[in-house]
Amino acid sequence: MKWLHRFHARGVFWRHYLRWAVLNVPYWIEPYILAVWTLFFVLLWKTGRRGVMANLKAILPGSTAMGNLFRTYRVFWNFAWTIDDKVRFKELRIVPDWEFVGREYIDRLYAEKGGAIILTAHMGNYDLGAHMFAAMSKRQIVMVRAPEIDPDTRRFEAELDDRTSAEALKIDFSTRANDLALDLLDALQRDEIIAVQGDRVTPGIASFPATLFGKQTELPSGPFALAMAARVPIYPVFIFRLGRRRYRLVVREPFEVIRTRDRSEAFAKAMAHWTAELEAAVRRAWFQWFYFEPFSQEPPR
Amino acid sequence: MNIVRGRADAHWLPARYNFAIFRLYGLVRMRFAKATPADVAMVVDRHQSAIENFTVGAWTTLTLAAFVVSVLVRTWALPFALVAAIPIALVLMHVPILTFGAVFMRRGNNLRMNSIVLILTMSGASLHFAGSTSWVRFAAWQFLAVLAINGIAAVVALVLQGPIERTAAAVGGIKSES
Repeated sequence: MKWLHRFHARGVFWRHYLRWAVLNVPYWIEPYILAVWTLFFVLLWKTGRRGVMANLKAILPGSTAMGNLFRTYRVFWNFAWTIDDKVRFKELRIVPDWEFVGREYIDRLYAEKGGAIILTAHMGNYDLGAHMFAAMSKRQIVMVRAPEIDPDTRRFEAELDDRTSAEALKIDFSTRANDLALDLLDALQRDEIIAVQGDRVTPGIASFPATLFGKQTELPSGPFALAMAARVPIYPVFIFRLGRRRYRLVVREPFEVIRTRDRSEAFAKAMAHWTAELEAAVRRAWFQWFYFEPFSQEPPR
Repeated sequence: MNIVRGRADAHWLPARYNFAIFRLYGLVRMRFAKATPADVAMVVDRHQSAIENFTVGAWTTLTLAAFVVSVLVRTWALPFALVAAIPIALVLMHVPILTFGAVFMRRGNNLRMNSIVLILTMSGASLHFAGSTSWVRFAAWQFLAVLAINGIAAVVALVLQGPIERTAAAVGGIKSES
């Protein structure tokens, strides 16, 4: 029954359906159609729903299961809009409105000699954000992300990226760890900007222990190792969805991973800085943290 | 696609609205809006307005839900019909979209065609229910009345095309970079 995988929440059927919907559902009925499909996925995708509810319990201590069920709907609703906006941009080149916060850091990032790392999270619309950066900075951006789990979905996304990505944006995958590290180092030496998501570890990538919302977890260590090796700053960047076709791009003060004798200490310091930024962003916009598995394996208190 | 940079009040640009009533509303709002400098990039696209899209969607869904209630109450108790009406209306909305989308799948972008088809289908249903003697005729007539008002607004918007374009040009919405 291999064909049934196509209909799983991460299966390729839904990617085709979303693309079809973007090209067929009139804009003025879209919010209500999305509301129906959001409910469908909240009810039927048990793993995703439970993952989000477990994370909400940690982010919002004292929250009730019933309250978190409604909050989960809000997370799924925002996710539906962001993937919808992403496909619309890719297929029809329609972009949303943008607000920019941290202009001094945005300008500093563009002017950075010797490359820089953008560290972001699975929040808002990171794909659109990377395209936006590529368009605004006129510099080559390499976006590193985890590949789709389902092989058919992975092929579909790769084909869509090849067909629609801007020239200034290159997409690479975090699974080919060793080769990728060298490629990225090379890219930084060519003054390119690397955009990486620093809130989720997928199989095959190096990690470092961290504490998030008081719980033990693992976060990717690659961005910090890269920043240390290439001696480039890390810019925390978050993209928040404000409403229909409206996003806010927030660039925070950059930090560096200082090379010392004790590599672990340097990493721990950088990781603490990053987790503080990530926690503040997620606490403010918990409804846009698209993390569908429990971020910590610690049992709930 | 045109983008206005640095002006938050570009939010009200008539060119960011699709239906004529909303275009005129945008023109009025823009006339009285103060220039608001902000670090923003506002897209000039006729489907950009959230308020317009949520309002038109709610209006059609609720009208269709009223038609559904009027049919269901023939066999169901009113409370059940009221509860079921909105989910059924939302499912019914899928029917023309799926049908025409499937028939014209090879065309790719069917957004405009499906929008016209949905409005025409709703108009047909409204004409059908407008002849009824029950309360549902009011729902049907209001739908047709709003369509007629939008038609009049379209004529007015056509006459005011000059001011609409000048408003966009004043904030850089016409000549700004694409």
